Amino acid sequence: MWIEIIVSLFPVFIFLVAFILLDSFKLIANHSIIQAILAGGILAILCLSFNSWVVNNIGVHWQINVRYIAPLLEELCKALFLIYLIRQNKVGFMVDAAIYGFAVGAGFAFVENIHYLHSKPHISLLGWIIRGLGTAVMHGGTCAIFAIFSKSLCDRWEANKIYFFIPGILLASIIHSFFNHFFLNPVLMTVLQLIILPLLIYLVFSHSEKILRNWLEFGMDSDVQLLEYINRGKISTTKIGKYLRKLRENFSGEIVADMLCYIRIYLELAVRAKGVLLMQENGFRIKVEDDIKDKFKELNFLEKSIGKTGKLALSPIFRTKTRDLWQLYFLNSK
Amino acid sequence: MHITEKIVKKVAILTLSGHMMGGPNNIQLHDKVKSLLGDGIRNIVIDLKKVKWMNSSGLGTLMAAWGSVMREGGNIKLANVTEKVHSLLIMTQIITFFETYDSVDRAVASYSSEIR
Repeated sequence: MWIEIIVSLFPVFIFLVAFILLDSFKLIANHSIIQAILAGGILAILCLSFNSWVVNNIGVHWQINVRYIAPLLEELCKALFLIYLIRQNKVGFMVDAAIYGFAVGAGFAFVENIHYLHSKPHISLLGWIIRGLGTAVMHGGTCAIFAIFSKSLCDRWEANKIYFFIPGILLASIIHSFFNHFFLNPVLMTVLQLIILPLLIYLVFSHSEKILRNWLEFGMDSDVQLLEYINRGKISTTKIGKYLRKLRENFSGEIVADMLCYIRIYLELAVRAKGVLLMQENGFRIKVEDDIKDKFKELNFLEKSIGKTGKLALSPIFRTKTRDLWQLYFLNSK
Repeated sequence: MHITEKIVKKVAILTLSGHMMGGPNNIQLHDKVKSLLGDGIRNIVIDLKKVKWMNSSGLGTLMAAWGSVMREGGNIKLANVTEKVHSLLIMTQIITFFETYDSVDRAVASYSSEIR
């Protein structure tokens, strides 16, 4: 029994640890990974209940359920947590999307395999390699693919619209359904997954790291430059200063002053976040200073003060795209 | 970026000039630090007087060099940091890793006082 448990449950977590180690910028905090695993486990319980209800009450043939209904339902359920993370700007790059995705899938597979270990205790070791390990890697893999695909779509359009997630769910469901059809020999299928998945993740990681470096380099330079202008009182000579002066026609002087404060604090936090990323890339973990929490409080206060219209008015001159918002989440989670 | 090296009282002084903006020059600095460590020199002063600007790659290289030196039980101290670079180090909180001095002599002397 213990061998079955080890074979079916642990390799997927070894994969997960390997992916976390591969992330040189350490984008995700450990507690967030644990949350993702737990979310995957809870979603698995919901899916298992729903699947048995479908088979027992609607009278759908089990094979139809396994091949078509369950893949779509399970991928949709696993996607829910990732959609929440991406829409809340808690995912910055494809690397963390992949790790979150794999973690949700691992949690899902963990609970599902415990269920199968309990309900089918007499399956052979080979059976567990296929049913346990194969399925676990599949769950992690499809969820990671969904996350990577959806994140790249959101990045391309610089928005987190809900319909950007539909192609990813369909893609993950098709792969899942293909796996459940057993077109290929199950052992071959498992071996193929074990070869393809690490390769895919490696490619995603190296591509994403390049994007991260470019963003870090370009973003830090422009943020620091703008912050320098503000701190030296030379903002009025810039395009942003001229734009802020123009805003005075539509907003009160206090609101425009709050807008400038908002930009300054935002930039300070953005530069600090990028500094933390640089330190983490070089293997240093530091506790961010207490003033950061105060700055976040001030930022929230100013955000309320300038209101949604004020933020909208700032959008032509001030980058607050998904990744720019993610960096604040990243810093606040430290 | 150009690097010149001088050894004073077992302390290596690396004088950098130009912009620390990434690319092969930054690798050159890290390689230089590694070669000093290979020669048994663990205390280093980096003179930034002639460094006008530094971007994220430059900061990353400084961090990487600092990490290599710390692992060998040494230290990197910065001297003559320009106002612009200093504010960058403060803004990013990377300043917490480095001691900064007004002059190279003071930075070198600080190593002597540590030995005593």
